[in-house]
Amino acid sequence: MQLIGVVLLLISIGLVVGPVGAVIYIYKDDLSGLIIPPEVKGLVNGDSSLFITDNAGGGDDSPFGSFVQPEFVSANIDNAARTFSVTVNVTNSFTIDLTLNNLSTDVETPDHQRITNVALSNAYTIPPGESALVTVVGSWTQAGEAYFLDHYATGESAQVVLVNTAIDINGVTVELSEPIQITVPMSTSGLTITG
Amino acid sequence: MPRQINYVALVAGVVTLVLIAASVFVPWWQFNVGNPALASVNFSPVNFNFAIFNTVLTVPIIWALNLACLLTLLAGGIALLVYSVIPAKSYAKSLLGFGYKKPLYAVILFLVELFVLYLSVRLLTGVNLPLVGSTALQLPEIFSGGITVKVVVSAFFNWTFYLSIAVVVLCFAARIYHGKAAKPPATVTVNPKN
Repeated sequence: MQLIGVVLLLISIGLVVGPVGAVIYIYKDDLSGLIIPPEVKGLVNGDSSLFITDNAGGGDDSPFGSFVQPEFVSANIDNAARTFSVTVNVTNSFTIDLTLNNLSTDVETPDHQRITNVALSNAYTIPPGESALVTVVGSWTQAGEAYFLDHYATGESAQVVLVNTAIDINGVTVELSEPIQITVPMSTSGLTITG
Repeated sequence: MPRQINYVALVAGVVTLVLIAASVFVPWWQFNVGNPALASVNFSPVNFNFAIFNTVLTVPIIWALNLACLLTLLAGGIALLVYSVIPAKSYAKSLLGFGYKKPLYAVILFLVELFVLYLSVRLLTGVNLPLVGSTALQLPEIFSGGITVKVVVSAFFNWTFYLSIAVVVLCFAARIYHGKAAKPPATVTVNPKN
């Protein structure tokens, strides 16, 4: 009976010491490997294939670059209703579904006169490695229109400031309190004007 | 003479093996970041891992501890099964003593680790993670650099956690039932003179 007790005790010790000892032995030359997952080491060494799909493309060194640089597809402007919509092609380079729940911002002139607000037309879910046409819509103010005609009627680009910008992807909401100054090209390529 | 069997220990041994198999695939506690999840923490004594963008990150030393816990539970389950069919043998009580405490140790270890994880996150980041339920967490500014970042997180215990509690109860019931199971069956003495 005592022998059984000793055998069971040795089994208890062996079952813990065995796997732990084996892993320590495997990583004896690189003990940091014990606590750093191999996938993280791969990512640090530039292997992002576990997180980013093969067909991400984009030509950007950043693994996230191709997602955050959507391609312009078309735009529609309704002068009578003072509304517009812009459609861009967004590629999901990640290995999970991305759900774009919200994208909204107010657009102001550099001297903080409100021009328009922009918001996502509806929520979009983009499967991994696929692209989707994402449309944002907005309406502009009469004061904003007058400002643009005064300052940029003949220019090639316009300076605007984005304020109250918020984006919600997969339930992660990012709100930017600081204004973002951007330059909008005044090209009419891909633009449809009605009204 | 009918064979003595501790049926409670038999059931406890079988359910322990079922618990081990289920816990490898279904975590006892799960924590998701984002909806759909961008990242998740899957936590059970036999499988504790992090997943980011559906990629499971396994820390080798934690994997080894998980394996040790799995093997220990497995040994406990097998010991219970062997004991259940020989409860009256002289060494049966040693087998029972070895087997019935293992699920309890696993549950205690799990709860302590979960509490330590919860406290560590709270102390290091100031973020109050929910242990159960869903909420929108606002990240401290130290992480977001002046930008407001809110993250939808959800946490819940899976059915495997409740099964582990049932296994612990069964194991203790098997220990209590041992006295009855190990008792020699009553014999009827027939007096030939009558």
